[in-house]
Amino acid sequence: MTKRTPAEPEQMNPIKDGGSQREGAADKKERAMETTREMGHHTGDGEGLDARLQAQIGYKLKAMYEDIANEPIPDKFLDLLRKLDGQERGN
Amino acid sequence: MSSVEVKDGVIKALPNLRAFAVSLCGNLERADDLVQETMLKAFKSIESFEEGTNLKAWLFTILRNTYFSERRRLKREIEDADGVHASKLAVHPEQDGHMAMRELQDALKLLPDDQREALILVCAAGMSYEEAAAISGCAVGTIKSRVNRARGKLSEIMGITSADEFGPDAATGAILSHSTGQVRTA
Repeated sequence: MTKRTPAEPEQMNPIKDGGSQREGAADKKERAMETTREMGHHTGDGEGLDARLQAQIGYKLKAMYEDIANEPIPDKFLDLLRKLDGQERGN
Repeated sequence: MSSVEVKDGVIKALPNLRAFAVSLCGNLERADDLVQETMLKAFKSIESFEEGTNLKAWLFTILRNTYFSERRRLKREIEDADGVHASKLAVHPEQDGHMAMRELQDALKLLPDDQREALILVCAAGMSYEEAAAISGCAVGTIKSRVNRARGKLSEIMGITSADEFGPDAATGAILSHSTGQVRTA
C-alpha cells in the first residue's frame, strides 16, 4: 500500500484518480474474493452470518460509537481550537 | 475557506472525530492525543482542504493516517524485540464501560487494522462505502469485502454463532445500562 502524508489534497479523491493505481496484491485478492461472493459462492469469512446477527453487531458498534460521540467535548480541545484559530487570524 | 468556517466545521466534527479515534485505537487517552494531533495538522494544512468537499471526511483521513503511520513505526521498532514489549504495547480500554462494551472493544482490537477501520467507518460511524473508501484510500469493493470479513471475524472472536446467544434483550440491556451509567446485575 502506498503511504501518503496527511492532508494531501489528492487523497480525498482516491476513487477518482484510480484506486487501482494504489492497489497492492492484497487489495486485488480482496476484490477477487468480493467478486466471488457476489457471484454467490461461499468463501467462508462473513458468510452465513444471519441477518439478525449482523444487525446485532451493527447495533452494538453504533451504540459504542454514539456513546463516545455524545460525550461533551473536553475543554482542552476547545482551548486548542481557540489557540489555533487565533494563530490563523494572526497570519 | 475562512478561519471561522474552519473552526465551526472542526467543532461540529469533534464528537465524531473522537468517537472514531476511540473506536479505532480502543484507548481514550491515546484517542484524545490523536484528535489533538489531527487538529494541529488540519490547521497547518488547511489550504490543502478543497472547499465544498467534506470537512469531516478530510479530518477522519488525517486522523487515520496519523494513527496508522504511528502503528507502522511501532511495529518496526518492536520487530526485533523479544515480544515482551509487544504485550506491554497492547492497549486496554480505560473507559469505565459495561462488560459488553469492553468485550466489543477487546474484540475489535483483534481484527486486522484495515478490517477494523472499515467496520468502524461503515457500521459505527455510518459512512457510505464510498466515503469509507475515500477515507481509507482504497477501492469501494475492498471496503465492502473488509466489512464482510470483519463482521465474520468479530462474531467468531466474540464466540457468537447465533444471535440468540446474546439475544436482543441482553444486548439492549447492556447498552442501556451503559449509556445511563447504571450498573445492572444479572
